[in-house]
Amino acid sequence: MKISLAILLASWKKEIREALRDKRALFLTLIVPLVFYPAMLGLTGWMQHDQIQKESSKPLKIGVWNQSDSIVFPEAEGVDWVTVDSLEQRDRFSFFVHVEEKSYNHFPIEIYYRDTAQGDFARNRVQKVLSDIEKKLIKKRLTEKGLDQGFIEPLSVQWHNQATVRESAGSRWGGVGAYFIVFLAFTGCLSVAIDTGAGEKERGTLEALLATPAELSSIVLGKLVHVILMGVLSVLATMIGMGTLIALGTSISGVGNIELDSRLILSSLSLVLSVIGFFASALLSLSLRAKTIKEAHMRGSLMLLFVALILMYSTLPGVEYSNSLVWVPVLNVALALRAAVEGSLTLMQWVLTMSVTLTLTLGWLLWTSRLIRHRTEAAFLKD
Amino acid sequence: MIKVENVHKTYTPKRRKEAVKALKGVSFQAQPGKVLALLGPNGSGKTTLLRMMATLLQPDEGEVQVCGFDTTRDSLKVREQIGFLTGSAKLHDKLTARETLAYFGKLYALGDEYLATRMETLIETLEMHSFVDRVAGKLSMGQRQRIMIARTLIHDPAVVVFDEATAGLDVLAAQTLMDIVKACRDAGKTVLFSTHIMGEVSLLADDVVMIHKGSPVYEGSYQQLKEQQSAASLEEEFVRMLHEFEKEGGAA
Repeated sequence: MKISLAILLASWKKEIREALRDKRALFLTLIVPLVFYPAMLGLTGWMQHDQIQKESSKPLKIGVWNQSDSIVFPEAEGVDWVTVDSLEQRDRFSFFVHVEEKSYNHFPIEIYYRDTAQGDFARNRVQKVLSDIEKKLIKKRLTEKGLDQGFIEPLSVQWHNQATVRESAGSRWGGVGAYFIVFLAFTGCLSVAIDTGAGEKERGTLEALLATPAELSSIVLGKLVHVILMGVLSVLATMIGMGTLIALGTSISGVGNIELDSRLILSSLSLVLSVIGFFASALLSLSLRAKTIKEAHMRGSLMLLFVALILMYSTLPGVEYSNSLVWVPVLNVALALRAAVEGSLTLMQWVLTMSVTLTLTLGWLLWTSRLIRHRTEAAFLKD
Repeated sequence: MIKVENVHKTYTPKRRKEAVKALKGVSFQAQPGKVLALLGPNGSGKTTLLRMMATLLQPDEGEVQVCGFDTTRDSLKVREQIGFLTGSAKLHDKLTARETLAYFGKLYALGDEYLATRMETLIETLEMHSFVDRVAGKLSMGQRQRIMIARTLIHDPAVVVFDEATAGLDVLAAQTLMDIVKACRDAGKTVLFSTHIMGEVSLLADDVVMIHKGSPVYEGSYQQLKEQQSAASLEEEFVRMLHEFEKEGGAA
C-alpha cells in the first residue's frame, strides 16, 4: 500500500473544509453532545428531583376505618387521617386503610390504593407510618414482657467491604462508563463516515477522484483521519458536556472515588482512540462499499445494534477481561477500559487489546482500498 | 493520442442472468490536434469505452492506449495524461472553485508554484473571477460547468475526453464548452467527445466514430462522412446508417 502524505493531507483538508461548512454535521458532532445530551440529562434529572420533592411533600388525605382501639394513627407531617365508619366510603380516597380488630396480638390491615406513579410515593409514606406504628407496638410488648430487642433479632450482622474505594467505584461505574464512551465513539463516527464515503458516491464526485493518478489508499486514509478526528471531537464534546453537568452539582454517587492518575488517563485515552480508529475504518469501509447513503445508513444501523449488544454483554455481572475475550473486538476495549478504571489492567492486557484493535483497523483499511475500485467498476457497468 | 484496438467488454448485471456485450471489437485512433466525435445512441457502449480510456474500467479483450500507455498496465501514467469530464460529473458543493482546483491539483501531484499559475490561467480563460471564491453549491449550472472544465484541465492533460458534457447545459454554458474544445484542439491536444447533438459534430469534429450496440458502425473523417452523406441532414444520415447496420445484422 503506497501512501502519499501530500494526498492524505489534501484529502483530509478537503473533508474538514466540507464538514466545517456543513451546519447539520457540526450540530450533530459538537452541539448535540456538548449541549443537548447534558441539557436533556440535566433537565430530566431536575424534573425528576422536583417531582419527587413535590410528591413527597404533597398533603395526603387518607381514609381510615379503624376497628381497633389499640392502633392509633399518629400525626404525621402532610398526612390528614380522615376517620370513616364503613368500607363503602373507600372510593372517596386515593388511599384507604382498614384496620380490623381480630385479636389482641394481631391486627389485619387492608390498604386500598390506586396503582399509579403518584400512588407509589404515597404508598411509601403510608408504609413508613405503619412501620413506625409496628416498631412502637413491638417495643411496648417487649417492655411489657421484660425482654430486649435481641429476643426478636438474634443475629446482628455487619458487612465489611474489603475492596478498595477505587475498586468499588471502578466496578460500579467502569462498566457503564466504558459502555457509554465506546457507544459514543461509534455514534460520533457513524454519520461522518456515511457522509464522507457513500455521500461522495451518491453526490457523483467519486468518478472524478478515481480518474486522478492519486493513490486511493492515500485518499481513503485522509478520509479516515477525518472520521477519527470527528469521532474524538464528538466523544470529547460529550465528556466536557457531562463533566460540566456534574460540576454544576448533579452528583453521581461514587464517581468521585475514581482516581484520575496518569496511568488511567493514558491507558483509557489510547484504548478509546484505538476503538475510534476501529469504528472509523469499519464504518468508512461499509460506507464506501454502499451504493447509496440510504444503504450505508441501513448497514450502519445494523452495526450499531451489534455494537450495542456487545457492549451490553460487557456490563453483565461476571463478564471480565480474559485471554479469550481479548480477541473479540469492541468487547475487549470495553472490558479493558473497565479494568483500567478498577486499576487491574496489566501492561500485557493493554498491549494485546491495542494490537488486536489496531490490526483489525488496518485490515479494514486494506480491504476497503482494494475493493473500492472493483466495486466502483461494478457500479459503473450498471449505468 | 488515443489508440483503441479490438476492444471487447462483457458484464452480467446483478439482477439479470444473461451477460451484456457492451463492446464488440471496437477499434479507432484519435490524433493530437484533432477532435474526434464519438457518436452512438443511448446504450451503444460510448460511456463504457470512454471510462476505459479514463482507466475506470478495463477491457476484457483488446487494448486501449493513451499517449502510448496501456490503460490496464500503466493506469497511473494514463491518468496523468488524460482529462476526463462526463455529463454526470458533479462538484463538491461545499468547496469553492479555488479550493476544488487546489484539491485536484494536489491529487495530480502538481507543485505549488505550477498549480498556482495553472489555476490563475484557468480562472482567467474560463472567466471565473466573479465566483471563484464562492462555494459551488450556490452557483448556477453554467458557472458549475466552468469549474468542472477547469478541474478537468488543471493538470494540462495531453488528452481530453468529454462524455456528453453538454447534456443539460443552457446555450451559453454549452458554447463555453465548445470554445474550450476548440482551444484544446488548437493547443495540440487530442480531444475526444461523445454527443447526441449533430450540430456540435458539424462544428467541431475532425474525425467521427459511430458505434451501435457495442459494435463499430463508422470510422473516418467528418469530411468523408459529409461526402458520402445520402440523407438530407446529418441527423437523418446518422439514423439511416444505424438502420442499415441493423439490417445487415451488424449488431447481432
